[in-house]
Amino acid sequence: MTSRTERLRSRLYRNPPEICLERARLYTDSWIETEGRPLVVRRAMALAKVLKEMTTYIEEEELVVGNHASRAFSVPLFPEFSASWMADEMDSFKERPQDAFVLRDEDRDGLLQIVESWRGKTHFDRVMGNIEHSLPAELAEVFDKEGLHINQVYHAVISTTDGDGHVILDFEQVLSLGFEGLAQKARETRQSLDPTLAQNIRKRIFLKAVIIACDAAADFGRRYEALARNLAAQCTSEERRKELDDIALVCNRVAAGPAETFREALQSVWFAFLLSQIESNGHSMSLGRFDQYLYPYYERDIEDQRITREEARELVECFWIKTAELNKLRNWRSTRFKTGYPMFQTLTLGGQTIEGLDAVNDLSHLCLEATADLKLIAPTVVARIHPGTPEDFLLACCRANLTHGGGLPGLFNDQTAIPCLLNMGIPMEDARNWAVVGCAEMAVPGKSCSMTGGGGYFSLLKLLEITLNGGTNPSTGICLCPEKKDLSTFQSYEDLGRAYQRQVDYYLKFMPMCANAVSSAYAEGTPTPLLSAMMTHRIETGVDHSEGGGPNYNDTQVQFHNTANLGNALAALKKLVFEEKLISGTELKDVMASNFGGPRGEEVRQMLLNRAPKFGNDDDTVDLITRQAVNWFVKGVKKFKPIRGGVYGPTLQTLTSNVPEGEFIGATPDGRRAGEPTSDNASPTAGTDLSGITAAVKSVAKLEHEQHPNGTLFNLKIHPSMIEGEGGMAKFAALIRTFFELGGMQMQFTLVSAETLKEAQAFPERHPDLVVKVAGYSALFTMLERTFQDQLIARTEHRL
Amino acid sequence: MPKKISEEQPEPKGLVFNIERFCVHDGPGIRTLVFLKGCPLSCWWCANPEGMNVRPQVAFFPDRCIGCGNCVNVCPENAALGSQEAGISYVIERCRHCAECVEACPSRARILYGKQMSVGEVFEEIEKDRPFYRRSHGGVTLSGGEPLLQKIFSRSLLKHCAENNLHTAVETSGQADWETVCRTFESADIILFDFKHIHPLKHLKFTGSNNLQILDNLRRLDEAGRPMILRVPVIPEFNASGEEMVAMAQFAAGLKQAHSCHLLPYHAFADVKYRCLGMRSRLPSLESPPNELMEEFKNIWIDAGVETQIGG
Repeated sequence: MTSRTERLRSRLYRNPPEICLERARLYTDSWIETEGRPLVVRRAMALAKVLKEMTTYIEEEELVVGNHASRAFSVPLFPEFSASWMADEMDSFKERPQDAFVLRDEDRDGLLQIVESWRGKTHFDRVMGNIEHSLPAELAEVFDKEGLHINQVYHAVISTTDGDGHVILDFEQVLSLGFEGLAQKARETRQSLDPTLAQNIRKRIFLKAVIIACDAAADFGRRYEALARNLAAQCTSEERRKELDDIALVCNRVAAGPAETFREALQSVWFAFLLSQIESNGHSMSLGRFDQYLYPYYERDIEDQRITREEARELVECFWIKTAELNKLRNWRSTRFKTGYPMFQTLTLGGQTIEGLDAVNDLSHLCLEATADLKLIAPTVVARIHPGTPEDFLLACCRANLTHGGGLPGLFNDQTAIPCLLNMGIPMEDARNWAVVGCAEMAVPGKSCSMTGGGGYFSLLKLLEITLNGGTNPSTGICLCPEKKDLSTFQSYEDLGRAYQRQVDYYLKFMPMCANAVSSAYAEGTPTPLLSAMMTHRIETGVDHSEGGGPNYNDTQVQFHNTANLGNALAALKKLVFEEKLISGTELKDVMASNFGGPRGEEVRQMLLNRAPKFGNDDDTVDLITRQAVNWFVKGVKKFKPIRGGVYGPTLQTLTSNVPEGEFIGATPDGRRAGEPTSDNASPTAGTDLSGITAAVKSVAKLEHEQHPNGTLFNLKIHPSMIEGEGGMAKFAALIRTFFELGGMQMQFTLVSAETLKEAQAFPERHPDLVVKVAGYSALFTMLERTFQDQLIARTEHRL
Repeated sequence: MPKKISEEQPEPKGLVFNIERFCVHDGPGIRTLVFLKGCPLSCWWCANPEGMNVRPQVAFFPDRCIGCGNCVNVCPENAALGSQEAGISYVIERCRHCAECVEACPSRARILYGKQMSVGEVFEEIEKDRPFYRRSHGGVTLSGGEPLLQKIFSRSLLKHCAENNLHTAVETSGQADWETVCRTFESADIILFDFKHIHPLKHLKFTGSNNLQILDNLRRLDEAGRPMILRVPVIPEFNASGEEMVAMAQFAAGLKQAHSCHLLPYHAFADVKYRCLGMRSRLPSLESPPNELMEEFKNIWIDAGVETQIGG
């Protein structure tokens, strides 16, 4: 950190985030003015109005400029995606226990007006309407409109209340053309389209919208140029005046055309990235292979002595701080699933070139240094590792992890990711160019749409609870697929397994039904012309990103939750009920119904905990059961094709949902009490992986990671003392390499001792900037829900 | 395929009280530690009290007890007493360590330390982490207790590991006759040799044995050119003084070969285990030596010409 970036950083978390109405007002006004025009043009015009009239500011000492809302770390609102909850929850924004926001008193009425004008017209309304048509009538009735789930098994919560997000822009294209260049490209394409052909009318409309959006984006840059000049004119410090003049010049160049220098390139990337998040509020907008597309600019500037390494690093640090300023207001339900103000702005380093050579360069190292030093929650820096990754880069990643403590960089395995993408039919060159989107999703920059609406999650453990109760969910009383038997009458483990698979097959179909409804809603209501312009091929093909289709790649995410709980529960049933017969099915059913109450309740629970194998201890008797059970789902979703083309891409990631999700699952045969959190991501259940890190690593590696194009996440908590010193680093690196050699996909670390976490829980004021790894993202520990904090503390800490 | 176990028919069994994976402080790389039960010494500060006794031992962890009373019902010696309401207690004097209660306990409140295992069974456990050893240049370390006390088993296990291309290490007190040391450790790639004190009488008082044989074995292993690391536990009231460190460092510097030294600060983590085994720690509740003191000691060793680090 330089003294500048240290000060910029210290301002970040000074005040609680505020809600800024500006975007919502401007957008809504435009929406009223443009009624009657084509949808996509209205979207572009609304964006243009926002960009033209929103407050712009340049903070003192800033070098990279461009703001999201009228104040840093404040949030713009996107009422076109969903609005009514904003009115319902407005009184609790400030007081809610997690991710609180301040709504100024003078803004309350304004917000109510905005909400009112969008009532019944939002993306959410379209989704709900579509679901009614998508689900057969008898099932539409059981769709829980509050919780957005089908009998608590399939949860369609993702992508219903906000933008689609989850892409990496084609930053290379933006850098080489600039926004004017993109507008020009759209004009030329539009002119070349034969207006007599039927298919071209929609394309011409779309491209018109692209032109409006790109022109507006270029003008946005010019606004910062003018602002910098004004500030410079008033500035009394000679030094700052010079900086402001430079900012003006950089903004001018970037607005007009291609970036020439490293600094211009950095500013250009920031504008592109920022604008895509003013257009829509889909999170997980990711930065792709930052060290690759910026390296030519960096290398040239260093060679020509236009910039020193230290200056470049300060600029990168300024950029990092800008990403940490972006924020998003979610409704309470979504917040509980994504606690800690996450934006999932993932940035990928290292890996291979499209020719298959190692891609690490000096900028990769510089980015690691900035990440370790700043200790921020954003951007989510991750590194791709392959067998040819230089040891010094992997060691630098390890050191950065130890310094950062809160899980950056996360590490991904090229050897699993690339085959996974090849399996989806992506050609080798693009597969080698992959980068991470959001938590763990693998995407080809500019070409992949890795969320594509829809994606929801399955609660694997809830489905087991239902199976053990003959098809009825004890918490809702609803039985959709009745079983002849239940836990008290299953004859064998195979008998139970067959029943579970029947339930899996029955419930899987809700995924495409809901995903189709959501994906259609995006295309019908909220196209993203600016984002589309910044993706590869969208201008040429004249089709909005939200419509999907080729030649870009699509996969619709589907999450599988509580995998370790499911494996542990099945293994316990197999061993204790069916093989050793230590507990009868009838007794276990009763005991679980009373949440391990009664005279033998706790004894039974202890047997389930201690007499049955647990995932995470390198024990095939449970690891292979877990693998098989996950594969029932993985295999099942392959039957379906998403609306945008491509495939349904499974993932084993849970964000923070394992806490709220646990609340509606009763006692389970893995010894988990009713309401307790479930396991996170692909990790073992907290506190049950007791055979050392290598055993946990081997268990997780036994899952079939290459079947999960939207990634698997493995959280390890290691006591910092385990890996201190150079010898420790080498062992840490060896651990990572071995996991990857065994077929693992991703691993990430919290390297903060349990003592520190406990202290931070007791005295949050002493640890305002303590960062921990949550899912694919990092968050400030003190801002997490208490139950989730407890989960992090309980996550088995590996040490001597 | 691992090679067949070649000698000592029938296959020797060892009494193992723990096999710990991912150890990073007991020899090079990532290692698996095999803890053998039974030790000829009884050091006051012993961090593995469950390894001292040569027989299997039952320990009772009251924190984990749910009071189900299963142990009371099965115990043939009335060593487990009480009820859910009154709480369960353990009368160690009556216990014959038959482990019936361990079988009956659902909550792991009763643990049996010490399991008879064959070389093949132990090797199977060790083998599980081979990919990690390969990457990190790690391997297996025999520890204890004292591997020399189960000399036939230790020798066969080390030999078997070496024949299967694993790096082998032993952690030892060095307390045995020279021939035993020599034969038992024949296949060990490196010996982590505990060097506790220079004075025979103080050694006797705090460990139950003088150090004459130990230091003799240390010298002879050194002369034989065996790679070693000296492991020095730094124990308050025993050897944590500048004077004692100087004397030990000088002894080490006088050896033929240059062996590096690990200074291991005392810790009281084992207190719980002592209580649960019905044993009494002879050094109760001492503070660990402060970091500054450890640094001072480290410098003493370095000044004497010995490559030294704090911790393993």
